[in-house]
Amino acid sequence: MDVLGNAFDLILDPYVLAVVALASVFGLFVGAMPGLSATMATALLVPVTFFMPPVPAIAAIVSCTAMAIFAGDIPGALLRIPGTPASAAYADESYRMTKNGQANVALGAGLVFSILGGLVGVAVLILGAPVLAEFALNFSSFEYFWLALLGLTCSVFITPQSQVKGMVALLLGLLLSCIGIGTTSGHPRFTFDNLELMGGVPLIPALIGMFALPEVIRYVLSEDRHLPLTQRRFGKILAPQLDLLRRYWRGLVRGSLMGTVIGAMPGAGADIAAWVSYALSKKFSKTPEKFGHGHPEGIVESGASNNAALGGAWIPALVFGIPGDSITAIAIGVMFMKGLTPGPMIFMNNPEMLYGVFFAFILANLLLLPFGWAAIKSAGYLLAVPRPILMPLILLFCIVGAFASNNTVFGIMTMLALGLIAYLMEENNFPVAPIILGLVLGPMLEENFLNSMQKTQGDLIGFINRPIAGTLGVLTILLWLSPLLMRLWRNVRVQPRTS
Amino acid sequence: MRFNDALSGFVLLALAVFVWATAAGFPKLTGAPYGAAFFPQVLAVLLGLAALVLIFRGIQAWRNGEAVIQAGAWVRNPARWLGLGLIIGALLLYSGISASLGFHVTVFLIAAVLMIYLGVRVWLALLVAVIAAITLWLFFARVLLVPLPGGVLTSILW
Amino acid sequence: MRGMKALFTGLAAGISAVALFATTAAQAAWPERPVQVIVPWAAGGGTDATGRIIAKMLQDEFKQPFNVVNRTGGGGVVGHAAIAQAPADGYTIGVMTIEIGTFKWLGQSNLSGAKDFTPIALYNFDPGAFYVAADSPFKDAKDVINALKTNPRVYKLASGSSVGGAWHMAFGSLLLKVGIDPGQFNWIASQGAAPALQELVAGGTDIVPCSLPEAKALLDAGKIKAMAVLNTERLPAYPNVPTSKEAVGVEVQAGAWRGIGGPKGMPEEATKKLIAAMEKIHKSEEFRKFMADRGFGLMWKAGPDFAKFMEESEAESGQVLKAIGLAKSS
Repeated sequence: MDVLGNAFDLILDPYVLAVVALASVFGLFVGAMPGLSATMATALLVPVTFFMPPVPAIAAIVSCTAMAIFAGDIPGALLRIPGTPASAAYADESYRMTKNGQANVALGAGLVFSILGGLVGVAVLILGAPVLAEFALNFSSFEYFWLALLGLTCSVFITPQSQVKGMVALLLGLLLSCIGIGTTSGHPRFTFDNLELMGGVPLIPALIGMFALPEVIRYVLSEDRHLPLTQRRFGKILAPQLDLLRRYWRGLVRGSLMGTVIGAMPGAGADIAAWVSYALSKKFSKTPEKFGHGHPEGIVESGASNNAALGGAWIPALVFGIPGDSITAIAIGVMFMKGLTPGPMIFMNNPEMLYGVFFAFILANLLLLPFGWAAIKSAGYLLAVPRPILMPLILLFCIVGAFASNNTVFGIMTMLALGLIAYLMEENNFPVAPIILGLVLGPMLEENFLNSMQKTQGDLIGFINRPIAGTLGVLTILLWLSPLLMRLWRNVRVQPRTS
Repeated sequence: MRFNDALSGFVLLALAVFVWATAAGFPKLTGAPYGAAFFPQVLAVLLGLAALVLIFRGIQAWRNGEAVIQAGAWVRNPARWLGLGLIIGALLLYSGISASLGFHVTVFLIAAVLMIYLGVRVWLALLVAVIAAITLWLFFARVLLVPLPGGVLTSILW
Repeated sequence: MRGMKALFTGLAAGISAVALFATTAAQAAWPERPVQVIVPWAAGGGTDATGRIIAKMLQDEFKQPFNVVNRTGGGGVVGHAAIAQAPADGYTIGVMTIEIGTFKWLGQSNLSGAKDFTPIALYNFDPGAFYVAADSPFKDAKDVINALKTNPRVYKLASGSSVGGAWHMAFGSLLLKVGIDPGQFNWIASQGAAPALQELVAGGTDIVPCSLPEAKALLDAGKIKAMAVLNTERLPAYPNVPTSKEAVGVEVQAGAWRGIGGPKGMPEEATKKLIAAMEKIHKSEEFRKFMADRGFGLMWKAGPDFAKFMEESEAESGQVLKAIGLAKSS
């Protein structure tokens, strides 16, 4: 109890509270700005946290990311530009709700279920940290290979248009991920002797280029430029959520738990959690045909999932010092800078600091309600800015974001090239989201495959003879075969009647 | 601008062949069953197959009377081409001269020109561009320490 | 106010498009404006941490901002090239790491630490060590070496870093010294020490080399065992880990180092001032405490000594990489 008391004192220090409040506003702003991601918000915070004591430094990162992941929903719903990659899975859905005059329901769902999902994630983090991390620690390259393949498979399955085109987009993303020096071979690939390309295609500029820039291009090329595309004033934000909660509580529970588990898996974070949960929600829904036409069910589940993943990602990070996602990878670095080595010893040596982090999580999620509500309300004003003024400003943000990710104009060139490609692809009904997923998971897929093969000297048996790997493998292959099996099953059922 | 799927297919097929051929030149790893070329070549094969499907579908659609290229209305409007040119130009301009001209000046020019092109009144465009340049600079360069280039203003700012 | 006035002046200049010809800075004592410190590795990593503390202390010393800029990618190639290609006016310096001596051999770039940079000061050296899982049949380093000698193809060795990275080479040079050909092994690449150690615990590999601070969490948890440290003496923070000399009878000093350098041909004034400031920092209580708290080792070589050190490091890297079979023919 003494530890908890000390931790309370740590977190309720006015200085810490001020840091949390500022970091929250910062997170909301960065998350809501198209092209600036939660990971980037964290990266931009590192230099600022460098001169803070450990608890406020970690609390700043925690609250900033919780806010940013929610705020990513705002431009997703109002402009169809996800503010962060974690909102990409359902940006289209919530934009359609806005078009149907339900922006308040879509954004409110994002807010309320982000908070609930976030709290579930924290609860699991506090209660189950050691157990879950122990499990994930047994994953070897075989398991990671299947995990990556499972993520990629999901991305093709949720393609609303032609699956061949989804596949093409995924393959292009995977090919982009091949550019640069591979860690497995050390050989520069597709770099055309360009030094910057040796570092590979930078993710954040690619993301800005593919999600934000085409929006600006489309706007400039559109004929009617002064049409207000989005709603400025919203109806009740919180009231409709009770009804959603009653109807979709199963989705909330499933999304929160799924998000926490995916977050806890090293390498997979909030964005993958959102994709998987959206796909699951559609799979288990009683009305899957409503998906893609402005239906809140998927938003409830994946909105909860991506915020739960944040808490989940801290589980392996705190217990074993292995980051659960790109945000905690940075956070671990910050902890090292403070002289705190994440690991089992931290539970014994600095428990109040650990509980301080837990309280920061709870605090951030509670603060999300008033802050997020205010953000939604003011988003109306932000978007009341005439679009001829807003669009050039978004372009400026794209420039700064693409530059700041690695402090080089190469980021801007990457953004331009991929932006033009993404624009052409979307005009031709190719989805662009699988490109990003391919870019992120490509290295994980290739390295884990090659490393596994190196271990077994080319024997493929390793992918199925470990229990967890085998289970994941069977799951992936079943998913592949599912359209075929479904068709067969339908034929079997239909045939007796027709013949 | 919408192309017949067969056209996209041919471009993708060419890309697949290029990837395969380039990857063929990658060295083998000593003692490893699969080398640096393995993964790109698998992707190239899959991409090639997907491209063939697209070509097949495209030719069918073309037989059914789909146009090879369907352009949006903006293609015949020179003002739209100018707009596209301005966006691309803005990014190239920033990449090229922000280091010597400085972040604020470049960003001000880009924002002002684009807003005026989009029909914002000149005084308002200039005002917003100045405010945007200052705010972005203060926030990113001064608060977050992103090394945005100072350019011609470097010696005055520090 | 200064900023506002400056902006308006500058914006007026921008509109009239004469901006390009403005201000050629008058000659004054270096540094008269902010200095960029390029770190070729990601924010939050070890190199970044040491780079930032040095930048902060240089800033206090010279009363000018020293801004850390992370330029990541390509296993350090991108950032090192950015340092080498920056204008040599003393306003861009950077943190150089052991990888600079490997790019040439790996065919990634022609950069050479001794030839393409102005050496300022080496400030850190972390010896490698190697580990096995807690439930491994190996009891000590002798066991490991004997097993590798008799059955080279059976064991899986993690590189502990990307291919040709610091820990890969450190363990490679130990193998060379005890007379085992490192080229015959089954090396598994990884994205750094943490995933490599996780693989070790998960049973995916048998031996992992990396630094001791990186392995501290898992050592404390009793998940892995440290076999030997590749240094001339034991590390004060890890008194139980024997040196390679004590464990298997060969002295090896191999690991990762970090230093400050700039583009070739920097003004002498800037170089001299930087070396003096670095020496002061290196001796300071604050810096020593910072490094000790985080488990970073100290080493000091300035100017030409640092250049000579880089030359030797590059030659040694070449030797090990050739033995591992990674170096391109040259």
